[in-house]
Amino acid sequence: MTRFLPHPRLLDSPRHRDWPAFSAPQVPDGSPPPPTGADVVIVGAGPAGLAVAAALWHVGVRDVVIIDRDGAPVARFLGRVDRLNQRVLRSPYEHHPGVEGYRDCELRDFARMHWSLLTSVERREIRMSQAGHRSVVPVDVFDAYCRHTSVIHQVPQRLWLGEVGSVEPGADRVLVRGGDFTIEARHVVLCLGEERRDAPASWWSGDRPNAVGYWDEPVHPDAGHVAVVGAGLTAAHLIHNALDRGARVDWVLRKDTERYQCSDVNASFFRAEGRARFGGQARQVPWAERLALMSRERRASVMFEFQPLLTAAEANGRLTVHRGNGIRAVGDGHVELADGRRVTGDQVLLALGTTPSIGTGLLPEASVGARDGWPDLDERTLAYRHAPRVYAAGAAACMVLGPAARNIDGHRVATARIAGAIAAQVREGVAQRVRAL
Amino acid sequence: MSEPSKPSEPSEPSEPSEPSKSTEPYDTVFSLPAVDDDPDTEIGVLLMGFGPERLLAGLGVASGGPATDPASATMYVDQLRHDARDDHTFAAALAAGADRWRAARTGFAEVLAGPGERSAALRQQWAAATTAFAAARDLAPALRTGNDAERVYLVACWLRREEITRTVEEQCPT
Repeated sequence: MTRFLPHPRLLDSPRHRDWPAFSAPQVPDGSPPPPTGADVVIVGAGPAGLAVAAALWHVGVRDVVIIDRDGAPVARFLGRVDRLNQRVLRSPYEHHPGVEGYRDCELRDFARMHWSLLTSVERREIRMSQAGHRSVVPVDVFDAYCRHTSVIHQVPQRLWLGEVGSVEPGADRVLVRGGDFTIEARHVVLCLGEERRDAPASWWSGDRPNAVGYWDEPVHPDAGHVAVVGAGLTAAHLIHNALDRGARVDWVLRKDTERYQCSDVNASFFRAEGRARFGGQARQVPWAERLALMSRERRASVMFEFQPLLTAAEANGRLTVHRGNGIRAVGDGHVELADGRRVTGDQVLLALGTTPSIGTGLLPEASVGARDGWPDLDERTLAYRHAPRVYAAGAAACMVLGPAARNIDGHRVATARIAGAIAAQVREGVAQRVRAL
Repeated sequence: MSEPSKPSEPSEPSEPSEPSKSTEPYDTVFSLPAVDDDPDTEIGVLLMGFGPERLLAGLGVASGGPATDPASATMYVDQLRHDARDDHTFAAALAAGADRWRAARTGFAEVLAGPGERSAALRQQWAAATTAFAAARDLAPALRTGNDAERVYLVACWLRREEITRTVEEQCPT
């Protein structure tokens, strides 16, 4: 039996290595406004938006406009990853935004193509993946693969920098409005990702206290002692980074214990049988049952590779872990625990997870049909039930596809349904126009 | 000559027992391919699974200049397969590859006429073909290459020479 032994060295992939800048097609300079009409507008060019754009290309839907607030594919995702100094993704090589079934280069083959650029540890991870074992993917590889996927599906030519302010569904069109543009689209796909979860209002009153920051904000480089609040991978990165620069860390865990896992969801949810627990053609699963499954199955966890590092740091006193304690309040450089103890630090860093963006604030509330924080989506197409020309990919689809919907692999499952539905309608629209002639 | 020993009869499954303390110095359940082979081997094994059109287009891109290492040539062909470029087409790359193959085929016929070493192990097959090609390149001017991509793609095409020649004749007749 071959046993997988997670090792911290897997966390140390080089970042920003000299990847060959393979000749990319020229994109016109300047930033003209986006077109005023399109078959499809994709809002957001993160991993989900990229997957949707690639899939639409393959089903023949090419009149596509992508609006992204950073104006580049996967920019915010990689920006967050780099902010945390995260070097590997814990999603395996099988999970990527490329398209299956069209003989496109898959992520693992892309990495193998660039074998000479990989470290021996990274190469071994590929071998583990080839042998059917769990693997981690270097951020550098994922970054370059996303650029390649983007270029071959002509995403740069279809992508505009912009912030969408509203999405207004109509009977046969949807208006997408931003600061200086309005696009009339036949279909809109919302790939909005997730937003940082803020601290509960009860933790402080008024403005955020001094020396309290969130995980996606700069960390003070001179902080010699930090307190980290959170139970997930982001918290682990903050702790790792602080220990790395010689700081002392207090880790506040509201749960009884930390969880070390390969993934933040059970692997079955990446497969059809896991998704079936949330429903499908065979049976309808009651909402309450799905809600309970989500709360049970989606739990913060830290990837295995951190365990030796954190255990050693706790043993030698550089890391103090406060387990199973609620938080009463957070103030200037301190956290008050429910049992009355006070944890102090030069900086308090909050890593409380993320909240799926479900379309609220862009779509009319009636179109979102929000219930318990989730949108009302058609299971077959992932279209909003009350706005059938608008679709949701990514975390917003969790109540249909299960907790893995927010993972990179879940995007591909969502994408296949959405692209199929849109392609069928676009073809039908063309046929109707031909018949009318 | 003694009788070959009979294979042992399959036995009934027995109760699971403690794993034996093996004296094998390595795990015999599976062993993974090496990670420190020549990087071209990893690419070569991938190219061995490509269709002939894709190999020929890669050869055309490699010999024509826009990409000089095999990974970049392959990514460039991916762009052409998706019509992602305004300045170059897959058909043009295929035609350039066909021209290069016609020239190279003459060189191969001069110095590598036999079937060459065959192995069911892809990595061994690739390594043997690379070695044979390196020796042949010094003997036949038509096999001289301008960059790594052209060399690797020529080896891949040579390993699939019948399919490649058939594709050239069918799709790019002179």
